[in-house]
Amino acid sequence: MILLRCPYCREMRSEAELTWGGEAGIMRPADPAIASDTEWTEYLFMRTNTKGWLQEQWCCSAGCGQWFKVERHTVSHQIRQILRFDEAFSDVTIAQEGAA
Amino acid sequence: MSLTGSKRRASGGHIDRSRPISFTWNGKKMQGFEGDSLASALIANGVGIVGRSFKYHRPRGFMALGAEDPNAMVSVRDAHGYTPSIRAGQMPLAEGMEVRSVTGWPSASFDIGALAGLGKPFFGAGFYYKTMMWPNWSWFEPIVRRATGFGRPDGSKESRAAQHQYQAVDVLVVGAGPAGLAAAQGLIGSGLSVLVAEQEQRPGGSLLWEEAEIDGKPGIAWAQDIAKEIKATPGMQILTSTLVAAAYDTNIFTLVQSVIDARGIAAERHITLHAKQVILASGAVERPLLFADNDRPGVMLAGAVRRLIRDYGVAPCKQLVVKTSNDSGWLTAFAAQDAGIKVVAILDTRPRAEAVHLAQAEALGIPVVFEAAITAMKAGRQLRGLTVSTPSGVRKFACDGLAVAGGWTPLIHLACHRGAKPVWNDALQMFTVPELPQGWQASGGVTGCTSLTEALGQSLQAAAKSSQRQAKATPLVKAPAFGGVSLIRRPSGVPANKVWIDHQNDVKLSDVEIAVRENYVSVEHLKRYTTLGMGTDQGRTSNVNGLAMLAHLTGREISEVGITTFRPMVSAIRMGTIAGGHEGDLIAPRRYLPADAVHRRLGADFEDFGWQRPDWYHRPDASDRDTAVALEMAAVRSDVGIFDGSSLGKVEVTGPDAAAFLARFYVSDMATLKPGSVRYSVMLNEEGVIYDDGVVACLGPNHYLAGPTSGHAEAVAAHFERWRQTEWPSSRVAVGNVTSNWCSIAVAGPRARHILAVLNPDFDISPAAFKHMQVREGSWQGIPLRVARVSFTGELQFEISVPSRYAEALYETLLKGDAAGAPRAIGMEAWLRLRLEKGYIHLGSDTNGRTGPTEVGMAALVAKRQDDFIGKRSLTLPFALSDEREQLVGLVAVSGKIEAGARVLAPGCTAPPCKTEGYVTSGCDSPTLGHPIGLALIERGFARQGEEVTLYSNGRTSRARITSPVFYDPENERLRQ
Amino acid sequence: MSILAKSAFGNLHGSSHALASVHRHDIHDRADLAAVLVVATDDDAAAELASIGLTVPTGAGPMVAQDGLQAIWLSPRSWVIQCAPEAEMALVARINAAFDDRRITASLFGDHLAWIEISGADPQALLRRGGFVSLDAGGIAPGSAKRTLVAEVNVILCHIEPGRLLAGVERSRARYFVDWLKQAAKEPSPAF
Repeated sequence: MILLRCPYCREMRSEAELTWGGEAGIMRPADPAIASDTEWTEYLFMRTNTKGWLQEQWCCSAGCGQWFKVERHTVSHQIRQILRFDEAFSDVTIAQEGAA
Repeated sequence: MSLTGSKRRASGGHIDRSRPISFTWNGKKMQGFEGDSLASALIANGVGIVGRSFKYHRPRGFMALGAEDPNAMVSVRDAHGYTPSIRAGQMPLAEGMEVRSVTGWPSASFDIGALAGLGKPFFGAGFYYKTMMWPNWSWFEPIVRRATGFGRPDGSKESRAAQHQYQAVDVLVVGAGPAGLAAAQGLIGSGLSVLVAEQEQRPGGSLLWEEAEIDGKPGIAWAQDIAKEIKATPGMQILTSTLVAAAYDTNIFTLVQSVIDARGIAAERHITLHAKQVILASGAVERPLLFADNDRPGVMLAGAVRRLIRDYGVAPCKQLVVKTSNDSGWLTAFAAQDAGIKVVAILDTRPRAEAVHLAQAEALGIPVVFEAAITAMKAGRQLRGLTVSTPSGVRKFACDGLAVAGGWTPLIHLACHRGAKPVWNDALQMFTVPELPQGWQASGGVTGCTSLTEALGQSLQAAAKSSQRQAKATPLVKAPAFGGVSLIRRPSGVPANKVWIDHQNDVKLSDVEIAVRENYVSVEHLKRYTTLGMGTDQGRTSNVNGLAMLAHLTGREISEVGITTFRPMVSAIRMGTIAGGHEGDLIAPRRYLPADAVHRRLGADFEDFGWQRPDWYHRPDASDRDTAVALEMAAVRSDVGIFDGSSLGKVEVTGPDAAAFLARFYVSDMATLKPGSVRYSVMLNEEGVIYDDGVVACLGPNHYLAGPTSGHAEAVAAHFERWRQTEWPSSRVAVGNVTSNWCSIAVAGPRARHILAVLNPDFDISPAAFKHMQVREGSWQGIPLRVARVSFTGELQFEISVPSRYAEALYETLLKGDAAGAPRAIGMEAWLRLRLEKGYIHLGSDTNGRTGPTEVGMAALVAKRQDDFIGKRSLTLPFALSDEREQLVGLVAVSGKIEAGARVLAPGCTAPPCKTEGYVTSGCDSPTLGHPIGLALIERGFARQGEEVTLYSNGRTSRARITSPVFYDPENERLRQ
Repeated sequence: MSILAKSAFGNLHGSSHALASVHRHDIHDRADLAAVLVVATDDDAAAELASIGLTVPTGAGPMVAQDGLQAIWLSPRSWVIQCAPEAEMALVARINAAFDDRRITASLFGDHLAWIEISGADPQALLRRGGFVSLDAGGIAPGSAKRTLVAEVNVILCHIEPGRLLAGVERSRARYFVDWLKQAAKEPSPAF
């Protein structure tokens, strides 16, 4: 069970209270009308499917309803960064054990 | 109680001889004492054969006294309920228990299957893979199904109460044996919240039966004192009879606590626990040795024999042989001798030089044989003697009990649930987990430690680390040596089909040989091919021996072979405990309409559509569903009906950017919607698939009310929020889900306006002033009133909303009707058929995960939009433009019925197997039209108008013609009246 | 008014379970409480609300009481304001009149939520039979509110004072929630 502390309401939330939103940083083409089929399908479907550190989106769905960003290790579920949605991930190369 | 067959000692153990407990075993009356487990009570009463083996129906006795016992599966009925299958050692004895063997017919001690040798030609290694093959696996299935399983459910409802509970603590200590207790003691005074979970009814673990002195006290007294101290410390608790069944990510655990009273297991509590830190002190179980006929009743693990004597006051036999590969087995000989059992011999597999207890054995006059191997057993249903090969020749011993000590298997399950890797420690001859999950520590037997002093030291160190304090001093311990394990060897001079590895699943050394011969040399393959370790004991006593043999046969080290994956649960838990009271109306959150009581009074037959909604109404003229539905539909078509649509979503979208925001979601341009107007449309996901449909009402400048489908309101509100937050964060828009604040009652039919007039609204409802697809707000007797003129039925229809506290009042008022008559209450089925006649889509029925707006005939709407909306770009991807896509069309029956779910067969086919080109999404007999109609998603459907197709459903075929989906009033004249 | 008599305010929509006394706890339907939902388009809405004399919390946790109102933070741009049923319509009108561009919108919410009061020995312990309630030590502090899941139902939990807790439950699920509470409060064995 994933546990994350929501950066908006500051509550520790268990998995049942959270909604996973897939990889973070997926950019919607600014003008979809002029995006090529390839650009559009890359945006829709192509994900890194990382085994390791992954930057992703989570929602405090049973709490304050806010979307936020998390850097999580997909094998160990270690959490390295939890950010508000408008914050940028920093380059972390050394795991900060037990962030959150 | 007859003393015949009684193996109870006159004294000794922790049972209370002043409190006898009566129970029955296969109908026979027996007696035990308070403090007994079912296993100890049965053994004390002389029960030697407790069950039959799975494949070969071999008689089996008790091998161990806990979850590791592969043999003693029984069914138990106590005052609180029935348990179809549990290990006797895991069940505390209680008054009035009815205990039965679950294997063997007609009884465990006399089994016809064994006489007939049934199964012998059957169940060799790879049986399932060699037998269960198409096309004739089904011939074998009934036979195998009958033969499998332990125990039968009795068909009764689970009567034992079960409750769920969630808890968060700082430290979970798994196990209240000496290691767990020492860890907990180390945490006293730390201020941390601590939960100590112990599977047994009493704390103490091995101190209940092993000889030990700690801090000058007998081990058990030391344990009891610490338990008391823990209980008295605020924030600390010991839960006994509590199994830590599973460990999950981020240190979430499943615990099952049995609440035991004098008459059995009264209730169970399913605890979901979060622990910041964990001290794993789950101990180890003993491993049997491999030799000829090692599955005979009378062969027990040496530690279990010590426990029977010292904890339960039971002498399991009169003449005992101990066979051991380490020092601990010798302690069984000493305990037995002390209890008056004649110890015939100690057989040590090791050379003389390694035996540390030799002097004591000699002093007690116990014969000792080194480098001994058992080559044959004299036994029918009861062990009578053994043949032993020794360096000095073959010797025979008469005995009725054999205690075996093959070393220890640490209980590393929980750490492995979390992905910790078991590593073979060659020096200890055990799998341990040197690298534990984050926040975990381990102490005692689970680390491979066999020294009590060392275990207590580990625990106090772990506690110190958890509480970030100095470690308390390790207490002074006096306890005999336990160590010195010899290698697991293939028994020599013995046929492989006489050596049993997995006693529950009847896996022999010969099965491992077959697997290896057939190249199933991976440990995971071996497990599945032979069923080694797949029993309810999860291979606690068999896995390591089995893979040691695999290593031997393939010329590898055990460390190369590895071990199979550990998965939750650690031991079986009751389904009723998992359900935890979620049954009947409480099985999952139910949603009730605000006018629920009125519908019940009106005789509604309810269905769960996400909400509990009337499906149809019992009436004097309608006692069955078909009649009721036809009459309800007729009422709407010819007069007027009333329908509760309160579950329809109501999501307010407000703010300066609300119009532009909504325009990005719907296929229709909501930005052009004027106050007082309503528009129907669909919204797509970004892949261009229809996500939801419904109307949007513009209630005023910057103020919209979206109406997602019933049960979808929260999802659509969340969908709006997600895009608002993540894609358009500067958009000045707010979303509020107010669904349940409003009830919505629809009146539909030619007389709908007359019924609305009953409310005497404070706005003009004349056809000229209040047109189709408009919305009006006003008041009714001083309360807010909102009326939308929309139609789902194809008739004139008004959707009337007031705050939901007035739902019953509104419904009752409308139901009274006017001078010309009362509207008929309409249920879901009639409502859905009315819309089917009109060809309106029912989201999720008539659309699926591939249906886009084009496929439901909305291509023109899409083409009109110049600006972007969610999913629009996907509509021009090649797959969206493919003419192979299934398009929604109407079907009119040519012959037979049109049933939802029927497949549309490819042209030229009359029956499957053949290619199908779509399926019927909705179908019914239309009372209005007088023939069956349907909607279907059919490949290239739009271009196939007029074509006849064959439908196939549940073995029946019918013929239908493809038509327009609008069967009723295609000119929309009626809803504009 | 005749229609008010027909359907008592705050009912659990057909449930006969509006009141219950369960083991060590009482459960009441607080029909005397209504609410208003306030949603805003901008992050500085709390200041804007203050400008019309409404104080709302700027973050999760502590509730703000004022003039018979109790404001509960739901998200950075939304609040629930508990009020008396008689005050609900006027409060909505007052807020909406102040922000006619609808950068802040108030909606009737008294019927969307049922307020279930749980009083007794340890209401949070009772609720922990359906969820963690809080993973932080001490649980929900007195005077604070928190949204979470209990028995798979979204609830707004308000810790009024020790031994008294209000659960705001979406109305259609209120009957299930009360039925669940009654079941959860059962003590199947004295040993429990």
